[in-house]
Amino acid sequence: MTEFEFPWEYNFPPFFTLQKHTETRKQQISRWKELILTYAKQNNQAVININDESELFSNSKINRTLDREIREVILTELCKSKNAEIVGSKNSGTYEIYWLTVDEWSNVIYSWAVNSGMTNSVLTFFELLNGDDTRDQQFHQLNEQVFMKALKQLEGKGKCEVMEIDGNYGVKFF
Amino acid sequence: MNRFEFCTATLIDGETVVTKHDSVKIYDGHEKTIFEDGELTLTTHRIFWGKSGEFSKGSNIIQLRLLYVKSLDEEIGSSMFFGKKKRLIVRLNETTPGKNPGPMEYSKFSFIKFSGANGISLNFIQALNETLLAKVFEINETVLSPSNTPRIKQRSGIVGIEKSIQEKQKQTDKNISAAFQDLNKLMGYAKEMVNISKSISQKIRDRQSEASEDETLKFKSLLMSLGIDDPVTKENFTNNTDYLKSLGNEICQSLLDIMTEQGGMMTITEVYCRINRARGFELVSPDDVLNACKLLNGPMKLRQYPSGAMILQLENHNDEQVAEEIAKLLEQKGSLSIEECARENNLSVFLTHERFLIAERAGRVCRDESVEGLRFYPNLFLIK
Repeated sequence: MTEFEFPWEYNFPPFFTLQKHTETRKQQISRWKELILTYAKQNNQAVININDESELFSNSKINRTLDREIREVILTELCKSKNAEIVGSKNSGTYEIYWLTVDEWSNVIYSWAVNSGMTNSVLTFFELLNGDDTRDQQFHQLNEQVFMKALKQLEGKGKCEVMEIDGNYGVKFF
Repeated sequence: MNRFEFCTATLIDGETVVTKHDSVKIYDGHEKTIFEDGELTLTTHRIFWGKSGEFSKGSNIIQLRLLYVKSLDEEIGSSMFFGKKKRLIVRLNETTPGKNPGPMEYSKFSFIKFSGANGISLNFIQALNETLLAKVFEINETVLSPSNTPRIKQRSGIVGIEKSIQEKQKQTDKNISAAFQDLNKLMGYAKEMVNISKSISQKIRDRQSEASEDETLKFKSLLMSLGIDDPVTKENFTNNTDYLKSLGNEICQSLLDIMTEQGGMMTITEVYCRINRARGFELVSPDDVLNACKLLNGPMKLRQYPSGAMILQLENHNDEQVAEEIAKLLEQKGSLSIEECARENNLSVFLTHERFLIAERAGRVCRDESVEGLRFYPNLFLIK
């Protein structure tokens, strides 16, 4: 995996202070959202805890750290656009990050299944996520929790059925 | 004649004999008295009258303190036997409470006359006149008169303490009113000065052509250093609004230049300080300044910023311009703290902060708050 390349804002000190001007703040937050999603995608990091010290929120080079309150504001914004969801209690600070929303994931997975003729046969989660057939797919090596959420949504629409076989999960697309 | 007192013929400290006059008799007003053919001794403090030789023996005689002498007069009396002779009329002041008992406790006259066998000599009258003018008696008067103060001081107990406190308060009162009298006088003079400066400036205007430009300038700057030559004061107005309006005009006139220099803005506190500094006397209250600024409708107006700061600014001043200036400055410098910018532009920190906030509200700059303090950057979020 290549080293993550931070955008220019990351080295711009005001990026770490919540701006007062409405328009500016909107821009700033949207850039943070973008950064978090790209960062999560590139590192395939589905879960972020805002209490953790991570290079994502601290730039030691310019000696700036994003305040916890602002992290929360940004993650809440991510939740609003369905790009994140809080895990556990409200104050846990742990969020699942969806660089594609669950909706989008389910679409991506279902169209793959249909296009590759995988309907009506049972597939295990493991082969879907780690198998050679899906190596070039976006959901390859996706977090299992997120994957499950997407499939559950498909199941709700009657497009697949999730089943448990000996403690392992499998799925059958219709 | 009731101003005379019994006394012993001894001199007090600082008292010296001036001159003597023989065979003098005293009239109470126009009436003759029993005091005839005596010796008058003039000292720096008193006039003694005694029978010849009694003064030098130091026996009991009568005295008239010079304090009681109001003025002198002369009268030419004519006598059938002696021809013309001069009498000295001494007009007297009212008796004071500290007066010792004398030979006559009541008199309907407020003057006495001295008359001599050959009239009163011119030398004596002159000496008396000079002594009166010198007023030596005023210096040691306290010693001479057995005043009441020592008696009070001897009193002890609560009454004594209370008395002394009262006495002190009275003294303080006196001192204060004396001090304020001085102040009033000073103000009076100030008004005169103002008048003078006005008349001078009028003259300069009239004779503009005669005086060289340099001289006129120099003179004007001298006049300027005297402050505002005709301060607007409340007493000149019956209507409060009129007063405030005129005060507003005065503020505009005197601060216009400096405000333009400072980028078109000035905090209300600075306005207050500057206007009072310019007035010198006849200071105005903060309230008056504030209200006058609120009424301003001329080249400047008062504006309250979202931060609560009250700032007087030029009417043609606009926020976009300020934002533009700040943005340009930031482009050059990369980033600036408020203090750096204040130093750069020679403005107050407070005002600079306000200017940054204006630029921020316009979306031209963005902030960076950290342990290193507040800095402002060009708003790259909106530019890039």
